[in-house]
Amino acid sequence: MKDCKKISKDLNLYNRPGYERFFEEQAEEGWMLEGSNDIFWIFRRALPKKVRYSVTYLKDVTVFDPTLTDSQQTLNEFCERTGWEFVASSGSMQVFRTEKADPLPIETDPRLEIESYHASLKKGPLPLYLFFVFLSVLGIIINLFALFLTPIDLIRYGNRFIAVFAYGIAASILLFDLISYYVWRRRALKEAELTGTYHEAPKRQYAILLYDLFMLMGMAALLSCIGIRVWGIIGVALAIIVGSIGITLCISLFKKKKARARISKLVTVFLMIALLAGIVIPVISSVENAVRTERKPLVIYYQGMEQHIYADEIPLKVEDLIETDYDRYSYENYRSFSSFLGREYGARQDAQYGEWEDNPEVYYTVYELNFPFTRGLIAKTLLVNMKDCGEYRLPEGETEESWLSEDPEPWGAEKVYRMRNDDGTWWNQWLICYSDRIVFFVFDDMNEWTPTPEQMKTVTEKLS
Amino acid sequence: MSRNKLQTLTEQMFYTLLCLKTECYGLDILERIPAMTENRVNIGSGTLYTLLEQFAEAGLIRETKVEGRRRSYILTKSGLEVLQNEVKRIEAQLADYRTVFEKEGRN
Repeated sequence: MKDCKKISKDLNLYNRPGYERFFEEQAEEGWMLEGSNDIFWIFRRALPKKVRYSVTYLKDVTVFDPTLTDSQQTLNEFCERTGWEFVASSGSMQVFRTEKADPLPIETDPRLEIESYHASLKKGPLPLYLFFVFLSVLGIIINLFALFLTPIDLIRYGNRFIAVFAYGIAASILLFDLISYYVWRRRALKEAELTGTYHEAPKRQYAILLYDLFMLMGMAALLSCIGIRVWGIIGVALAIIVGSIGITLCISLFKKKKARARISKLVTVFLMIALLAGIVIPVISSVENAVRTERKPLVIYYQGMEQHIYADEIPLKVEDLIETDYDRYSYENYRSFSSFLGREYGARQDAQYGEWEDNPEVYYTVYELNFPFTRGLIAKTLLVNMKDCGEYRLPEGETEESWLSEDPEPWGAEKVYRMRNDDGTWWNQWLICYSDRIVFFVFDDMNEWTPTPEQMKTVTEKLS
Repeated sequence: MSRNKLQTLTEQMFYTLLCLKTECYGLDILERIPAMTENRVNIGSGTLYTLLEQFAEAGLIRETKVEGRRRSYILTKSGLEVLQNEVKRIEAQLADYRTVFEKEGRN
């Protein structure tokens, strides 16, 4: 029969009456609290007994303290004098036990008790709470700002909406807890002054701070991966679990080595930042890279320049538009993003270096939209800031370009724009808006190229 | 502890300060208060610990001796002032009470 059992701490360290009841029930079942470590409460088998537990808080004690602090030892001595034996502590929470049937409580002034409780919160969870409220609000602002600034991200990073939602939930929960705590505190102080007693804080108060934090931050991270790769989600979840265990072990190690609380705290904060920035993000990208099919292009050199020649299947080729006997093209699918809002993919057909003069090339990016109402916003971004919309770069020295609308009918589109230089010459670049997608199409020829209705039809067919 | 909170002392605050009129170990106050009040007033160990810390911070008491973890304290001048103000307040209350009830008696 086991003489010892461990029960994991549930992070609900600020549920004083709940903890007292829990320890008393364990004692009645024959398990006496013996101590604790960073993860578990440790119980020793004993004769079932009715004992009383009392939980109190010390503001200057943290989980990082390697040994009992002076204030803990002084309080323990005070409590011993009134028949309470120190049993265990977990950060600022101190647990005492007595076998007296009607002991003098450790806290006899409810107002002071509420103040002590608040002081210990101010030293630990409260600043963390505010910090995470700040982080969540920042998360919302950054994501929303990015979306409004570059609506094209709606497709590329449509999961930003989900991230905004997750951060919104996180901020709401944190703020709700924070506000309800202060409301409770105000009422409890008034009640204590008038009646000499007060209602305990609701169980949830501050209790699941870290749980909330990890779950919600994790959720935001996981949700932001959806639509990329399912392995990304598993990777992030594992990284968070492993990172959390690592942090707990690190705190334990520092305690064993009797390192100063300040150093231990500093390293832990550093590890938490490293966990978020240094583990989760690389895990996402490494998982992404691991599952991505690697293509091995043919590498050629021309006058010291390296060019990769691909042989991808691309939807629209130069050969679909004009006749050509040139057979040394590179066909490359060069971009692909997707989200619940839509899909963006791009392809290009390049002649080899030094051979492009007589051989036109094509580049295009297709934005497939799941929600037509986003079309106007995305088209506007593309028109306003063309250089940001794709890999295609305008030649250096070009300054003034503008989009002029063309007849969309031959294209079978709803709107079509072509880029014109300020000297009146046309660029072979079109922005073609269909009801469910936008196509940025470039026919890169040395000369101005005016597509025939058949060629326009081909573009529309091939890129639909 | 803000000065405002010391405008009116609770019984536990009052007797803690009273015990420290003469130098005394913090720990001993736990027994002195019930002895002084014939067990009418008791103070919990956690409450006393917090009070001593707050009184010292507010300058109402000062530490006189440290022997290991045993610390002894004594009332300061401002502590005595707070105590006297409280006594005046209680006396005023008592006087008001008597005025009201003595009037009733005469009527």
